[in-house]
Amino acid sequence: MKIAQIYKALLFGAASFFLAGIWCVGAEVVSIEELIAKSKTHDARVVTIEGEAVGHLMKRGDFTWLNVGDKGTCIGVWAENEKFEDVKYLGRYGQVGDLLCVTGTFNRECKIHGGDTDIHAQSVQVIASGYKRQHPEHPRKKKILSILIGVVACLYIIKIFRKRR
Amino acid sequence: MIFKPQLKDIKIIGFHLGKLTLGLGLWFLLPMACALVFHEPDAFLDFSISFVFSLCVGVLLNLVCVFPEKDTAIGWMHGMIAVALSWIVAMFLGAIPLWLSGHWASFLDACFDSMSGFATTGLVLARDIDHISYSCNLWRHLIMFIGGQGIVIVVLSLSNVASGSYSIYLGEARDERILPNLLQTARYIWLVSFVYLVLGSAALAFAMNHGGIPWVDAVFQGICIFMAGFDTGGFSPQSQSILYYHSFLVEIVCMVVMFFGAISFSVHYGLWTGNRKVLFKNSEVRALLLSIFILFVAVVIGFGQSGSYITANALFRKGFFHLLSGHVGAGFSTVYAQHFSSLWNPLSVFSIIIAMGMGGCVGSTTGAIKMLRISLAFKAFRSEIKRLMFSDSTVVVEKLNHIKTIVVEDKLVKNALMITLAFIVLYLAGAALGVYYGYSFQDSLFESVSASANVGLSAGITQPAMPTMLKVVYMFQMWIGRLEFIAVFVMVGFFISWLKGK
Repeated sequence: MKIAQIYKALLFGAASFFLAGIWCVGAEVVSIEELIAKSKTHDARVVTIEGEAVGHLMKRGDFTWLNVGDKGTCIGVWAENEKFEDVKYLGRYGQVGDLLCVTGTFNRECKIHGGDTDIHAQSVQVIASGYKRQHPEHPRKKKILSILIGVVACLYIIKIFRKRR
Repeated sequence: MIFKPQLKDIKIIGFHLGKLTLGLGLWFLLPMACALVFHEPDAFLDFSISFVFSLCVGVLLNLVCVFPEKDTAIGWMHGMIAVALSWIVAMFLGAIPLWLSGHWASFLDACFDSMSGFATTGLVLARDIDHISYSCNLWRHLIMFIGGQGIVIVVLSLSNVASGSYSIYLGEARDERILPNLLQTARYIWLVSFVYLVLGSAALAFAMNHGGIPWVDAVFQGICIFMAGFDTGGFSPQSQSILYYHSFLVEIVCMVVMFFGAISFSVHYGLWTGNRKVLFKNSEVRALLLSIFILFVAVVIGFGQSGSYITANALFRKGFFHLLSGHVGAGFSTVYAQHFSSLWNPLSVFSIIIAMGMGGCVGSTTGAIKMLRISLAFKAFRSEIKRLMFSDSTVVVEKLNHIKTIVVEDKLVKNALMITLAFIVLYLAGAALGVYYGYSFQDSLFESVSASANVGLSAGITQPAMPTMLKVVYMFQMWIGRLEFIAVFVMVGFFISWLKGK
């Protein structure tokens, strides 16, 4: 019985992931850079963007703000709290955020949000999970530091020696 | 006849430069501690290298530039040159951890952001800011805090240098002695800054937490945003600047912090000592408020013509926020850089450019021409008209309230107009270079004024792919604009006399 439930859950998960993929592939994905550059063209239209969830999930009552970034350009996505339930990883130092596919209405100057450029999302799908990223210490940097410590020690010794003379 | 500087002069400058380098190097200890707290071993290594390297440079300069004890007194020329050079040294030292972090495409880009930080400009060439370490972010904002007070003031207030230090103080574009002793003045400036740091960071942290950011990040980003706002710098921990927060409350607190940063420390002193009237009696503050009002009307007319941001909420959050941010030289933004040219009406954009070009108050952390000089020029203009209108026997006296009531004299006006003219030439020269590289005049002027006036708002020109020459010119504009020309001119004169003198 339990195995059957696991299979069902796996099947459901795979189907959701597949449907989400179809949803994103079906809709024409616009880059965030293009949205910003051609704001007048896309204003008040339903658009689909793909990008990394960055920073924080900022809850405001029943709604949440999440900034989604792609190639260094980010845009604010505004939606009901439930729509962000699947978002687990948020992009920051040491972490790559979930890759999201967001479909919603693009607002060049949102009337509700004081003129912010944003997207009011109808759907938010996680198309690739984020992950922890290691920032290993560079061995060459350690060598450079050791050499510099040696140099500064020598300089101080010379300084002390000179003062005594 | 031009006198050739002697080896002794170079040694005096080098010796004091070494002391300043050692003083600056100590500031690396803060991001090192931050890296330990947030478990960022690679960033800790970057800052350790920078710290030890600055010690090496400082000690080496002190060893090489040795001269008799009795000659350590720093002269006028030495002070000015030490200041101009210390900003260059600070730029290089500050760029080391940025470059090592890997978020800057080249060392030049890291130097650009370092100069932008120290000069409290806020133009950014960093890539992928949203993934930068806490310690690196702290350093980016800390250099604004150090630069805003004045690099040399920082070292001055920590040491007991007394002889000749007034020339250093003047070299960093400050001329007010709030307290009788210069050392006391420097320490008072730090006291004010630290008290506001605590209050402002707390207010920002509360606003951010209210907007859904967890407490640890709210406090950290609150401190960062305060340092960038009060010192009218404009860096922010996230790539979208203040737009990231989508919060009216955060924007309001930012506006208050920016405005406080644009007011002279002598006015703060008046407020602290219970003289609340000083805020509204001061001619410069009044001129600033009047200018903000007039230019805001122009921005609103521009929005009306283009049909953008027409709701009261948007007018305030976009129009007023950017006008204030530009006027006081903070450079915080809640719109995308490209939108200034694609969505904003030219009238609104030119109003922002004029605001950026004028700047805040003398003796504050802002750059640009500054309102005291604008007021002086305006008073001189009015007095000339009066002189022409009235009879020859009439004596026209114009007065100005700046801490105390002063009579507008020709010498004061001449100095004010000289600096104003130098700024206008700098703005136009940078704009001409932008046009040469194929950018529109509006965007070129916007970016040039933003760099020279140490503002940080961008029309989209400043990015890693921009021409190298433009990067170098903007760095020069930030440097010379922050020091208000004199120290740099003295340094150039020193080198000329070294080459041509007898």
